[in-house]
Amino acid sequence: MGVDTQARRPQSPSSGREGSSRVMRLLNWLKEFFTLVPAQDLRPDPHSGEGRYVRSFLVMRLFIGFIGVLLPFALVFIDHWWFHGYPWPRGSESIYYYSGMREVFTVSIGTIAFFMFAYKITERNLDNTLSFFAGLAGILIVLFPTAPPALIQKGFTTPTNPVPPGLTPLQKSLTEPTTHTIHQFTSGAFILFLGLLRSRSEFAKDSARNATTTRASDRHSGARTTGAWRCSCSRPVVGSCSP
Amino acid sequence: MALLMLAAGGWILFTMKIFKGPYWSLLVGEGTCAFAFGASWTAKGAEWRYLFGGSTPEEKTARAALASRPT
Repeated sequence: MGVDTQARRPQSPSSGREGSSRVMRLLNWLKEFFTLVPAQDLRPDPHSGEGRYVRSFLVMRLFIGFIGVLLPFALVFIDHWWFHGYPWPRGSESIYYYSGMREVFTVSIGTIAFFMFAYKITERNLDNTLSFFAGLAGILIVLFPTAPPALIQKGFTTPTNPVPPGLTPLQKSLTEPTTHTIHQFTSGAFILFLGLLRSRSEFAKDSARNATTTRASDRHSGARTTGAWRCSCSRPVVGSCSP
Repeated sequence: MALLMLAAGGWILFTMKIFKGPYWSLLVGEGTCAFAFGASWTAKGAEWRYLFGGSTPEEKTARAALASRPT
């Protein structure tokens, strides 16, 4: 039996050091994805080139918020009043995939997901990690639909309206229970990551407020520094994430 | 809002795994989560003054101070 002596030869001290430094570099690189975002700086002049980009970004963020607020009501009430969907309400938001609100559901979740995916993609911090995975989970939610409802659902005597269509090619290919399981798992992950992102953001806001209060009191006691001045001036926008 | 999302997540788990709630329990939980998420982002993005190109006097002063600082 041949023995690969080359592979079993003990590593020289220098190659071991090189390997461990590479691991350390990798760990340090990964660590950056779990660091908190520092308190943000002053926003650029809103009429400058940079400022226009920031404003566009803020508008996008505002629209994402509107979608989140309106989506649950739109699904439930438009399906009922416009499409006469039955049963009313349905059992979950995802099941509206099989109602007249399918496009609204998929486009809304897809838009939120894509925004979250790209939200802080160029940064290396915890916000990016959380929003990246939230976005990824959101994209998978719409790619892998939930299981279609029964023709006559449990506890009802009237057939579902509209009648659930046939399975999508993806559901046929992967089997419907598989896509349903992926959908459930990614839905949970989506909610979890959005919740964590929100919690982290509120935590950062409190920290920034505390830091600003401390710096402001330093300033009043005569310990003004340029950094403290900048932070206190940017107080109205501290706590909200900047691009 | 984070607490509301947490509560909604807890509600979903509770009604699905521990106590079998009405069939629309999941819808309520998901809807609350989506609403809380949307409300917090709307609140965060509603910086109307900046969105419409305005700045507070403090911000203008700070920008002027930054611009005049030697690089």
